Amino acid sequence: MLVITRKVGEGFVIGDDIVVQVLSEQDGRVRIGIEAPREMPIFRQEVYERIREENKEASQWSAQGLSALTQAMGQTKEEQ
Amino acid sequence: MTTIETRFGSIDYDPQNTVTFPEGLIGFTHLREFIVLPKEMTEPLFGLQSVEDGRVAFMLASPVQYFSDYHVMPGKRELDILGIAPGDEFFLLATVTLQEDQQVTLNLAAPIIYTPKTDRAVQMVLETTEYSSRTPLPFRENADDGAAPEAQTVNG
Repeated sequence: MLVITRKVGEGFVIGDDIVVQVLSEQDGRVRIGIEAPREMPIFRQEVYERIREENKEASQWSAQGLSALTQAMGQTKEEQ
Repeated sequence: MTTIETRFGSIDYDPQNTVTFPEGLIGFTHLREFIVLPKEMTEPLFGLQSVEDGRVAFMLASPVQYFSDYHVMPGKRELDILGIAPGDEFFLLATVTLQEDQQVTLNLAAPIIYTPKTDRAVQMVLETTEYSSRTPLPFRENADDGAAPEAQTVNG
């Protein structure tokens, strides 16, 4: 991992069109400003990782899993 | 017609009739083209099968059918990706997961927005939401309610 030390008000650039700036720092919380093309997806890391993990689990359907799912949803209905 | 091998066996599909995720899904950004299984989104539960990787398929459901107060509007960014404008139709969907304890959950933290206008879809990550990526499916009052996805309209 590339490590860069910056003060508040300083920043760095990634490629030609991404600028990251440290806006302020207080009690260990750092506010960061990012300028990037709008089509560039930007997520908080923990949010990104949670969704990536969920997508991975949601993508692994087998015929057997589908049958279990249909049954589970059917049970949901029958339990009314 | 083209044939792909999937976890559900061989599937014939028309390459002209796919749903495109211009950005892919998070963790699957390299997979852009999917087909709807079995055929159309007329069932409460339907599948999106990647045509680029036969091992990857998602099951989707309409969250509004289970959570009537779940409202998500695509933002400018999503509208651009989908190629739609205010007044156009879209469907709000969510991926389905079956947990080890057989609990069915919906990912309400990152719904899928699909538009029939361009046959494109995008996963919209809600960074600040009270909804979980593993929201358990509630019991339904009436199992006979039509639970197939219903179109919504982009606000002006």
